[in-house]
Amino acid sequence: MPNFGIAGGLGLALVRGISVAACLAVLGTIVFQLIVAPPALALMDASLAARFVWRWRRLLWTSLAIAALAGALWLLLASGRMAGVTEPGAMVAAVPLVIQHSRFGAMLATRLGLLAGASIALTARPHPNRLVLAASLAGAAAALQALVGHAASVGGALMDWLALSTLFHVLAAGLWLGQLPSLWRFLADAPPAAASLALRRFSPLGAACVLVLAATALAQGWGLVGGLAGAVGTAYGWADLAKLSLFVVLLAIAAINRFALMPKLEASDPAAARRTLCRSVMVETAVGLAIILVAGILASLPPGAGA
Amino acid sequence: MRKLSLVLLCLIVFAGTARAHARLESASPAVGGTVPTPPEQVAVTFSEKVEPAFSTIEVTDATGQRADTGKPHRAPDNPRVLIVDLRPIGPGSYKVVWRAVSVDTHRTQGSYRFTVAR
Repeated sequence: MPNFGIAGGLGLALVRGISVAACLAVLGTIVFQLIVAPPALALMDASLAARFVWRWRRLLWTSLAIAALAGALWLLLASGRMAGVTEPGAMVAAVPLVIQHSRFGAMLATRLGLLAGASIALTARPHPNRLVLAASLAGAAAALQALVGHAASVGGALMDWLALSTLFHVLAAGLWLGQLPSLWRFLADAPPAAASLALRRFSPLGAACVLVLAATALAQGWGLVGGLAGAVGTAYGWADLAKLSLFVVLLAIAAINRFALMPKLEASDPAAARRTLCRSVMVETAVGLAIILVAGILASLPPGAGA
Repeated sequence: MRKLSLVLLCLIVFAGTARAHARLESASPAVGGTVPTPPEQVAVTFSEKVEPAFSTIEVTDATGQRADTGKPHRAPDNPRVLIVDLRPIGPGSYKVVWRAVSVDTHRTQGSYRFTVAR
């Protein structure tokens, strides 16, 4: 059994995971409203559509608040660890130093600034241009993950490849997993025809994201796990295998949704099919969150390569 | 989709392997080595890029007296190398204790000795 000494403790790893998950939810929720939802909303009467928009805004602001709070807590805990202090006052005092003198601090402060920018863009009445601006800012905030993880600390061309791979990985996760809470809430009450249309619009984007996630996970596994010995002999390898297992479960759920449940929406009992699909997307959302939390643990463990 | 597949394939094929958190790869004076003349600085090369503001290198002589001048700085041409300047030192055995914070915020530490020949 490998040593699971998680740097900074499980709490820091989970805070990191929650921060990233919320950031991805912000991106996905905006993209859902921008790309997936509009034609489906047009099929509903105005009052029902307005109710969905209100729900969407509540989900978005909740995600933004969690992303900001978890991001700030992550910065605080990591600052304490970097400065080698554990008292709350000393940790707070370390934050400005970490922001000023480390790449991690600068990146996390920038992320919080980008999320604040997205919030400002969203405070006014929803408009496609403002949504595009907010999605760009949220996408940039999520993309900064590529510059604060393991990829950031290695040097040379390897860093470029790993960082590029992480960039694609994070954005694909945001565009797929980040949209799932919105899709789940939408399927809960949408008329079957609107639900079916939303799923048809979500499906191709989800498929492309799955391809990107699988390929970039392979690239990172190649670079960080350290082959079979690293996979079975290190805590990093075990955590990566757990993440891979969850990803396979996620793919299976997505395939069931796409090829078994979606066609039933247009069959004899669409209301029952919608309820089943809604529950399935809820489970898919939970598994997606679990994967991101495991990714937070992975980022706190030394890579198996070179161990 | 074909272009996307090509980019993804490149990401997999050209990826190398990364080392674990910042570990000592080499040092000058060398780990356990003996140098004929007193060095003016100690340079430690790590396996990953490090944050100098949160890293330390302490050099002490056989009596426990500090031989370094304070905070280390990063080598201008290599972000994986930390350098600390030394006060004028004489022959004897010296202990180097390093604590490194890598760019991905992980802390590691270690120590080694070197000797200045009489």
